[in-house]
Amino acid sequence: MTCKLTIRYDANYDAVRNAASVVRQFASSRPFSKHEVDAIELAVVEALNNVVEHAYNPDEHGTFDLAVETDQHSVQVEITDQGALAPLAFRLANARIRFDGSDPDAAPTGGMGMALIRELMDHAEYRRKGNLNVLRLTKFHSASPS
Amino acid sequence: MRIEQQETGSVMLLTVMDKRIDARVAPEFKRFMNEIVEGGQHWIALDIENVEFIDSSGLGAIVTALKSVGRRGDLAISGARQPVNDLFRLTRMDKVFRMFATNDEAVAALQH
Repeated sequence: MTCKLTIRYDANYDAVRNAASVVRQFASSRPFSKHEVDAIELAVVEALNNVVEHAYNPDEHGTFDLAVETDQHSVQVEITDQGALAPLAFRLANARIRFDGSDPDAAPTGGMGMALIRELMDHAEYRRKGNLNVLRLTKFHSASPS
Repeated sequence: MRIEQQETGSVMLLTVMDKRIDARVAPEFKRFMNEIVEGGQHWIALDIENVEFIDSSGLGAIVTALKSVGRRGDLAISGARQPVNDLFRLTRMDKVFRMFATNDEAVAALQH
């Protein structure tokens, strides 16, 4: 059975928390382990933080749409905003956590979000659709083929 | 954001009472930690047992605090739960911070 929910939020960090809670509840209702639900929540928060930080000018009222869909094998989260062309999203394909821990002075204090999304989800795809930024994240149940 | 402070010998134990250290509170957390460090506390045990969720902004704020301590002391982590441990491991920050299961262990390791 497929189940889908779409909610529009104002683009701010309180909304990110609310959206994270919705995604967490949705994923928890499916056969994901707690570890997988934690991973999905973190990936979605990183993606939404990116929208809040970069999609809109500080004086601009922006929104994002969160669509969560589950089927027999996976959960898909689609995040859509009407903000500026997302330069960070283009880096998604090459995002990696390059810090290896050997030099504490080189530990990053930012710029980890895209790499975390890639690490935590099975698929992450960004596309520009008209004037919209669309990020689609997919996580399969651990027992399902990816 | 609510953080409780307790001086134990030469160590400042900071207990985060919030459940989340995320982008919403990261700037406030950074300011608080900066005041602690610039106020002369350089041996810090950060108790995050109550914290259920940290995102990369929150993690970045903790790393910033460690860097502001620098060579003057150390900032150790205690009580990290599984999802938080996973984030530290995934970002290799488990190699940057000394991490302890309990406050007693963290405080004992930092005494000097």
